[in-house]
Amino acid sequence: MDKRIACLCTIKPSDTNTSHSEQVFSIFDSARIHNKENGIVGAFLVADDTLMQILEGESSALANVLYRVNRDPRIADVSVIVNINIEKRAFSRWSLKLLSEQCAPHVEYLQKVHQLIHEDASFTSNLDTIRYHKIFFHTDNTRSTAPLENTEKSGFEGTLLSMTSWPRPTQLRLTAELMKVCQLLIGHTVEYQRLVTLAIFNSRGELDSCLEKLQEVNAVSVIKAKEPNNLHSIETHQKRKQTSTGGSRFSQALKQFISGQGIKGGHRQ
Amino acid sequence: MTKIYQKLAIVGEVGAGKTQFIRTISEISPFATEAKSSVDIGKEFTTVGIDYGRLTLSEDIALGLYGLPGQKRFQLLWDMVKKGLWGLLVLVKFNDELNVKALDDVLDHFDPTKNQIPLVIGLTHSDLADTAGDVDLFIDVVNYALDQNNIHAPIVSLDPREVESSLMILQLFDALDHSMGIAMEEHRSVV
Repeated sequence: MDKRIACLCTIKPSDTNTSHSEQVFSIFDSARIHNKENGIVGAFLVADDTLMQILEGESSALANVLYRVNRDPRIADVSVIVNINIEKRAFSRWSLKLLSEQCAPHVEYLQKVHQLIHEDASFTSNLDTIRYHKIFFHTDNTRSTAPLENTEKSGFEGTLLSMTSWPRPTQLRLTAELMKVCQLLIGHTVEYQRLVTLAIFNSRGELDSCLEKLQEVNAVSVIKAKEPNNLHSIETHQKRKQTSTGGSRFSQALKQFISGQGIKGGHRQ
Repeated sequence: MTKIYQKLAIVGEVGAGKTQFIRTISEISPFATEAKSSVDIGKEFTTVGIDYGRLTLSEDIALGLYGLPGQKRFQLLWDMVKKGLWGLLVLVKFNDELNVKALDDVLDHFDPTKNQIPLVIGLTHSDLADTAGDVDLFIDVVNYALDQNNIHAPIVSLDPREVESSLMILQLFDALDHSMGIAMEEHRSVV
């Protein structure tokens, strides 16, 4: 029978000139290779110096991982907080997530993982509790996104849209149209009506179609709009050094060139 | 009418497909700076300078393609093309080990967020992966490096040998450039 374990540990500062990210990556890389060879799946979650590994696999393989983790000189204070038998694995692969306050693209993923393990978690020290909270409540998990359950084709009317991260190529093939929408929504909350008035698509139907594709892969958050008096300004970055006419002429010329090439595939000699 | 010349920098590690990308879409034979490898890197020649290609889009509009080695010791070359970039394409080659440090170096040097440079991560050789899960894991690692630099950027699969795949990258940059322009001029949003 398979087991699921979750263990917390602290990443030691490197005693060489290795940066924190290199240190994390080297720990991750050894785990990645070992876990792949032994059919172990799960998640590798990092928040500052705290590391949580959630592992699913055969009992003997997981025991071997724990042995390795305990002997790893790069980490300290290893503590197993979940150790249960499972009938079915919840993870299909092994993944890496970096958690930080500045970047919260993993909120939904974290909520799922938290739901999965929190009932089985037991803490033997205050340190465990602190580290557990650091992992799951480090990012802004409290944002209420109140997703709409049934957004029909024109159901984006009166909604606010936002994205925290780009969809993966394994989830969705990015087209130029999708990219335009994503670029506007990443890190911002934008009113659907505003997207319509920007006229980046020929029709509202095309915009809706793009949004639906993003919604299907859970890449976009759709929430009900607040009252207009809650309008806020986007903090704009420094102006791009580009004249709009120059940019537009270049863009038109590029589009004409590409359509003239007639994208059909094939190799160029 | 004013002439327009834009620059696209293509940066990537050894064997990521920089030279091939330029070879695929450039109208001129790339001015390549390849040298015979002194160690076994899986191919006979590798880029040691700037690969240059060009696309004439109309009589007075052109796009310059600059292929740059991905190692930090070549940052002098990065500086030569960094100013006024239309786009930065970072090619990462799917394999068992991503050189996170090298990717960090490139992102840190070009600082696409601060410098408002549209950035696309082109994932090459993903056809060599055994499973989609392997590609996903590799993307996790790339995202990790992006997170470290507080960068949001699209990661797209790219086959530099394919005209369609390579021209699609230019379309994506155009879309990014367009949306970045709108985002910069947008002053109102609902929170």
